[in-house]
Amino acid sequence: MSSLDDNKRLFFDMQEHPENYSDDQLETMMDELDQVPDVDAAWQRLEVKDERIEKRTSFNLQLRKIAAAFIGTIIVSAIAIAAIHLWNPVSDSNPKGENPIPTSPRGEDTYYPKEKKQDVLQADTLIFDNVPLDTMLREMADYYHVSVEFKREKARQLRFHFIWKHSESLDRVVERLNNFEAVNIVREPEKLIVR
Amino acid sequence: MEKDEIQRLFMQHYAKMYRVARTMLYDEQESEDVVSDIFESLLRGQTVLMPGTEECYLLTSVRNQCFKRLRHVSTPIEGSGFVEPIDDSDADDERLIDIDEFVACHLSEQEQRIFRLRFSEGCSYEEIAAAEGISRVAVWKHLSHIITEIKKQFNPKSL
Repeated sequence: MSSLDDNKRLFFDMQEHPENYSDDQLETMMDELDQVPDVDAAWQRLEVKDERIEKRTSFNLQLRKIAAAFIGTIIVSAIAIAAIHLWNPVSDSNPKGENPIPTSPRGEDTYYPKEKKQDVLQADTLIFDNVPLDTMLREMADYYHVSVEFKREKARQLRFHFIWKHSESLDRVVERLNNFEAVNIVREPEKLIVR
Repeated sequence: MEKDEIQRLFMQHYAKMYRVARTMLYDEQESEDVVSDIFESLLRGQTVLMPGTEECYLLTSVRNQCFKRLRHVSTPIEGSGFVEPIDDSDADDERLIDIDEFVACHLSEQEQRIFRLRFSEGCSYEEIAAAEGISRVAVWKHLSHIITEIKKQFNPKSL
């Protein structure tokens, strides 16, 4: 128990039970309570405390402004990114969004036909998302002026997600398609053969 | 309120305010904090004083803040009599008004004067003794009786 608490206890006990204390003890306590404080020093302490609070308040205000500007920037950026994703189907995040891309005549899940590409694609890129290999290769074959032959009928219905850039050569496209484990395409001068 | 004006009030009333706080809290630092908080509120423009009411406002504020501190102290000091579980500040304000009414209705005229001189005007024990024509020890005993009566009425568990 600290001395301060002891003195407090004594003070409150003197208040409640003055009969237990001598006049001298009460006089001493009253002298202590009526000590004249150093008012000038107290004012200086108050000024220092007030300045500190003012600085802290000002600093907090600046922090809030910076935070608000930062959050604003993030929100604007997020809106911009969201807008880009909504209007740029190169992203595969929402191909079935508010501006649906027409599906192929065969009704595949997602298919961006050649005639629409100028409207919806950047840098002559097409996205095949869960589209049968048959449809993909016919579209590509038309573009590269070759024919397609399926040696294995089941291969027609294999579905892939594939991004096709028209700027790529046919050899390169075949090479990339052959990276799929289930696909084996042979490139001939005028024909693509799917084995 | 301009800072110069606040400083003038501080110089004029600080000693009395501090005395009231010490009479109730005993602790020097706590007493200074109570008075400083009131002037900080003035410096930040959170309180506007009506001309002619400054002294009454300042001393009443000290008394009220001290009562609240005593009631909300986290470590009860045995025998302080004002220590109770924390409740809301509206209840505190009502309690303070009730205490003033109790003093006016249940204490003798001399005790009312002594209560007012010490807690509302911040007079020293010496000044009260001179005003009442009694000894300082008698003033202490009167104040002791006043506080006991208030505790009996408002915080009987502490007795």
